[in-house]
Amino acid sequence: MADGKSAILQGTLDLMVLKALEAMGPLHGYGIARRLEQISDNALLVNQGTVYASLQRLMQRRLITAEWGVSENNRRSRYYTITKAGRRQLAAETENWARISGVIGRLLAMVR
Amino acid sequence: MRARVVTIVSRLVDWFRSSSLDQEFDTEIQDHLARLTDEYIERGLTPADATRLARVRLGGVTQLKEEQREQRGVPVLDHLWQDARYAVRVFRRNPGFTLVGILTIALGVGVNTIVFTLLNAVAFKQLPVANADTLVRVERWFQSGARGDVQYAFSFEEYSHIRKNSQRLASLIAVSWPESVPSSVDGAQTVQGQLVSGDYFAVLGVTAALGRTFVPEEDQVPGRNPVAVLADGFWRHHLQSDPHAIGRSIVLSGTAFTIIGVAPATFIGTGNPPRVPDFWAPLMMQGVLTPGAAWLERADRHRLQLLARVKPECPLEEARAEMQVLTLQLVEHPETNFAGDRTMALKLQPAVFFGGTDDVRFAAIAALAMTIASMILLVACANLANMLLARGVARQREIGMRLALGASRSRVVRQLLTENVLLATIGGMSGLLLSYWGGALAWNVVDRVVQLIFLSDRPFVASVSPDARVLAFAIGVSLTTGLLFGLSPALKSSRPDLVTSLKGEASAMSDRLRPTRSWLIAGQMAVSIAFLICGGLLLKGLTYAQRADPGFESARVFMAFMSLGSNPETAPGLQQRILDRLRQSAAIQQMALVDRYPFGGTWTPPMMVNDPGSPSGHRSARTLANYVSPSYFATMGIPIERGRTFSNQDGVGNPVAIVSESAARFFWPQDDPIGRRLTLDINFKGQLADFEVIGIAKDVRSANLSRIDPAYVYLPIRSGQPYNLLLRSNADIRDVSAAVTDAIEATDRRLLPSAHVAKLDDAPFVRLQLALPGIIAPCVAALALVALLLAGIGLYGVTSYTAAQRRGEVGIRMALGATPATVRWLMIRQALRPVMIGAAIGLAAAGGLSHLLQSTLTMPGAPDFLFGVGAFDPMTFAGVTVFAFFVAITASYLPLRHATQVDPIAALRCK
Repeated sequence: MADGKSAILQGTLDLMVLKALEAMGPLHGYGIARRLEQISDNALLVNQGTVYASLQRLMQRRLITAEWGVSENNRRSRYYTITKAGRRQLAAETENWARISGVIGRLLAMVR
Repeated sequence: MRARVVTIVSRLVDWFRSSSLDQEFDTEIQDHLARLTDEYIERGLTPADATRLARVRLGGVTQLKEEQREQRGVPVLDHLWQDARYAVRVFRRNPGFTLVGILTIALGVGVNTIVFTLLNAVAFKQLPVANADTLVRVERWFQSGARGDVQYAFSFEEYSHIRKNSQRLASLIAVSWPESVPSSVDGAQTVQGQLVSGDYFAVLGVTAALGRTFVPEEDQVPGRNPVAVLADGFWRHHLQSDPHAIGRSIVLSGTAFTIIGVAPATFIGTGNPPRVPDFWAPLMMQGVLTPGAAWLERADRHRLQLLARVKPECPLEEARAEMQVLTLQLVEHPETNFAGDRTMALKLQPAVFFGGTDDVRFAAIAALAMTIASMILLVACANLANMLLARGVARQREIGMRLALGASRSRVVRQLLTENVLLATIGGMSGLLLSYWGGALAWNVVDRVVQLIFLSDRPFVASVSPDARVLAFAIGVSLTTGLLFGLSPALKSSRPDLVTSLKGEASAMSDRLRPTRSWLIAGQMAVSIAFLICGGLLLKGLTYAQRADPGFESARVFMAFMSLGSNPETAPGLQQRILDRLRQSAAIQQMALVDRYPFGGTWTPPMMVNDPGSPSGHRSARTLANYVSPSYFATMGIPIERGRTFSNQDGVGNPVAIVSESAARFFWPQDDPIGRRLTLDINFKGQLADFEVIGIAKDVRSANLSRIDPAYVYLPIRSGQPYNLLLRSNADIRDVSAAVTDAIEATDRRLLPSAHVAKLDDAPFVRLQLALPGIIAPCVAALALVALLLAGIGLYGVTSYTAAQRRGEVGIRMALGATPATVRWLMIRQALRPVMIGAAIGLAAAGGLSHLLQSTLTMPGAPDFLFGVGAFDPMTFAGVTVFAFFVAITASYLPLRHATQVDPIAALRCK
């Protein structure tokens, strides 16, 4: 779909969204965006709307589901929840990241 | 991988709910915005500022929605729909262009579809019976390689043998060739019927519309069951659709047959020949129906066609292999061989309506027809491509704008391509409609030809209605055309220089496209000219055909057809007695016996004479030959220029021959042939026979009406054999018929039903040879004119478009002092350059075709399609070229007249 670079960025964003949902439980779009801003110090999101593309991708892969619900202040909002498949994917990707960063770390240390 | 599949499925599902999903997302975005606004308000901003900042932080709502839509659903389908709607708007804005485009494609696709419909009816459509795809025809292959109807002819003994001994065939049915029998029905003196085996209708899965069909018990004992099934057409026409026809009797050949059923209207027989007979009767009734010509019991009479169904569990290959074995068994019965020509193999062919459609000659004709039709389509497509290119250049501003606004090139190409394919498809469907009407017309033409061949007034039966195959063909051709000829213009048009195109100066691009345009025009011209030359030659041949004089008095010659009974021993004696009686008749002036009737097929054995002058000592070539009785020349009115005719002593003991003038000139250019010897290879197997020349006959056209016999050798008939009878009379055909009938009646009454007399001039072969050019020539000429018309339109369009593009240049030239005439002349010259190249190619192609045609004439028996017109007739070649150039010049001149009437100042300002 897009070129390699943005695919990696997309993948990273997707991963972050999954993580946020796993850690915080069901969230609406605004909540997810706030969380990501907080964690990444506003580095990850160009604007808050970016999460929606990510959420759409994740929904199509059946890693999250969405449901309309009522929030604390009687607002009708759409809440996203991570699925079992999503949790499995998250675990797999996390492990993958850990492995890769370990290898690169050792590599960089070696070059020194 | 699995992830992608899941994604695709989700997208498809969402595509159907796109509008409700749009609304849902809108609500979600609004909610998000509300929350962001609240956050800012909590931080102390004014509601107005809060709202604004919220929007900034969220990002553009419209873009978000667009991204969402791209992400969700199936964008390809959405774009296609968008493009299609836009294409329709574009078409409506340019109705003239659209109409011409549609008509052009309709013409091209229509012609192709007509040809395919005919092909479909002949070659692909299965027989209209149950489970047609499991029905096969049995075909035999001879040692001599003989082709044609003879490959499907079997004797009753062969049929019984295969039926009894085959284990792989589920069923085997037999159907005879049509037999003419006299009947008692009003308005039908003779009717045509086919004799079929008892299980014929059952195996074909045909149930009677009225009454019933045969059962096997009715086909056991010769002559026991005089029952008949009528054809629907005959029942309607001659029995007035009488619902009580069942049980009535009809007298056929003097015997009363009981009508037991009427076949359904949809049953049109099993083809070969493709005519519906008037009735069907059991095989065992053969002796009753045609008493004078019994063939059922004779092992050497092959009058049955065999069709079979293979057992379902048995593969076709095994059945074929079994056929092979049965063939070898048959070969052991020498009486079953066709006059010494061994059967090499029996094959099973899928049964289509016409027997031998895997015949190489048929395939060649079919390929030729499709090629011609495709040429027309190509010419049409070239036109379309040129037009599309021109439109593409004209729309540079629009395209440039879209590219500048951010559309990707592939998106623009897709959109242009959708337009072109849509145009081609609309044109193609119109072409399909055209072919539906045109197909009926074309079938009429084919029908007339075939009626002439079979000398029948019964309609040629085949189902020409378009079926799924024809529809698929038309759609396929349209789509292919659209894609093929729309892709290149689409690609070329979408590669503009943005600055130039936005400024509206498209001349640079136009120049880049000139070579393509030129080649397209050259191609159209080449095809048109090649076609026109063929059409012109054929038309000229048509005029020659009207004046074709056989060279002998064909008007007074009659052919007397009769059967001479089923016993070969008594046949010559019977013929002699009939001849003796005819001699006493006042109506007959002369009579002769001949092996082959004039125009009734040719025998061309190789001939050799001694020629001391040539390096090999021989001169050899093929010649036409025939066995004739001594009175042949008098009967036909062919003078013997020198020497004498045959006498009754000539024959086996005294081998002599008479040659035609042309043969004499060719084989003995220096000497007098009389007294010389010639050698003939009598049966193509190297068995040579010598003859002494005793006379020279005048040249005539007796093999083909279209050309004088290149070389003819007449040999005396052999005694003890029956031959064909020719009569000469000054009376009309009724008197001659009466005389023949009397003679036969006095000799043997049983031979009467099979006797009839025909004028030589009315023989089917003669009528065909005369009528065929009248049918073919106008068709080819019409197609050629269509091609030229298309080419002319294309040339006109291109020239007028080019002239409009070059207004600025014209203005400058005229401002610098050129007269309108000079400018026009310059532009015409440039426009005609590709025309000249095209003409050269077309002439070369026509020359090649003519050469091919001429090479077929080396066979003495081959007909001359041009009736004597030289294949390189200079008048036709030159005339056509001049005509084509005239059209081209007119087509390029007309738009230029307008273009050069422009005011130079106005033209310059326009630039």
